[in-house]
Amino acid sequence: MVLNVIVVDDSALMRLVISRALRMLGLPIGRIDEAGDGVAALAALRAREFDLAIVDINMPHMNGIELIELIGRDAELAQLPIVVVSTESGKARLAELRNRAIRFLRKPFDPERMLEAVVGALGGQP
Amino acid sequence: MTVTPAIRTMTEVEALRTAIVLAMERLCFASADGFANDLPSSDTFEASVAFRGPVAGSVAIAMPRHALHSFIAALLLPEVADDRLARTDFVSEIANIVCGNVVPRIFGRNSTYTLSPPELVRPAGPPLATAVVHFEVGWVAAMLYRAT
Repeated sequence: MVLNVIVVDDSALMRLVISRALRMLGLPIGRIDEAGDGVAALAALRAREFDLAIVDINMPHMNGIELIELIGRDAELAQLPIVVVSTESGKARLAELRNRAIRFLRKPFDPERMLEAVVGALGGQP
Repeated sequence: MTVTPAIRTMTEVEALRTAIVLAMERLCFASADGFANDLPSSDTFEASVAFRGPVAGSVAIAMPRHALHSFIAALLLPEVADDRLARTDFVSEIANIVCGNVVPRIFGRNSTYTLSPPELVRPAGPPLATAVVHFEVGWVAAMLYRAT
C-alpha cells in the first residue's frame, strides 16, 4: 500500500521542503499533490483520493482551520488523517486540534517529529 | 513581582534570537556564529507578519540580499536558490516561523494569537526589540513591533 498525500501550504518553498521531508521518512509515500490554500485543497480532496493531508494554518483565502472544519463536515472526507504543520502553538489552538484527533507539528520541525506525527495520524499503521 | 522594562526588553531580544536560531538550524542547518542588537547596514530583503490577540503587533525579518542564495541552497534546494519567488517565500516563511515562535514565548501560551500572511514590508517606526544573529554566510535580524 502506498500513501497518497496532499500538502497544503501557501509557501511553495515550504511545500517543497515538506514534500522532500516526507519522501525521506522511510514510509511508502506514493503521490504527493500540493495546494496553496484551503480552497484549492478542498477541490483536490474532492477530485482525488488521499490517505493523508499535511495542512498549514496561516494561509490566505481559506485558512487551515476553516479547511479542517469543512473536511470534518464532509461525509466523504471526515475520516481523512490530518497533520497540521504550523508555527502557531497557543494552548487553546493545540487543545482544539487534539479534540479533533489531529496531530500537530510545529515549524520548524525535524524529521523525527514529522515521522512521529505522520505515523500517529495514520493510527500507527503507515 | 514587578518586571522592569529593561528586563522585559532582554527577554524579548532573547526570544527573537532563540526563534531565529531555531528556524535557521532546522531549515538551513545553519549554526549561529554570534549575536548583535543593531541592524548591520546592508541591502536587505525584508518581510513581516502581524499578530492579533490580547496583544497586537508584528515581527519583521531582514537579511542581506547577498546571503539569500546561500541560505536557500543550504535548505537543500540549490535548484531554486536564484529564483525570485523562492527568495520571497524564504524570507516570508522565516518571518512566519519567527513570529509564531516569538509571540507565545513573550506574551504567553495561554492565549490564541492569529497571524496574518507575511508581507514584504517592514513596519514603520522604531521596533520594541531587535535581535541579529550572525551565521557563516550572512545574518538574520528580527524586530518586534507593538501595534499602537
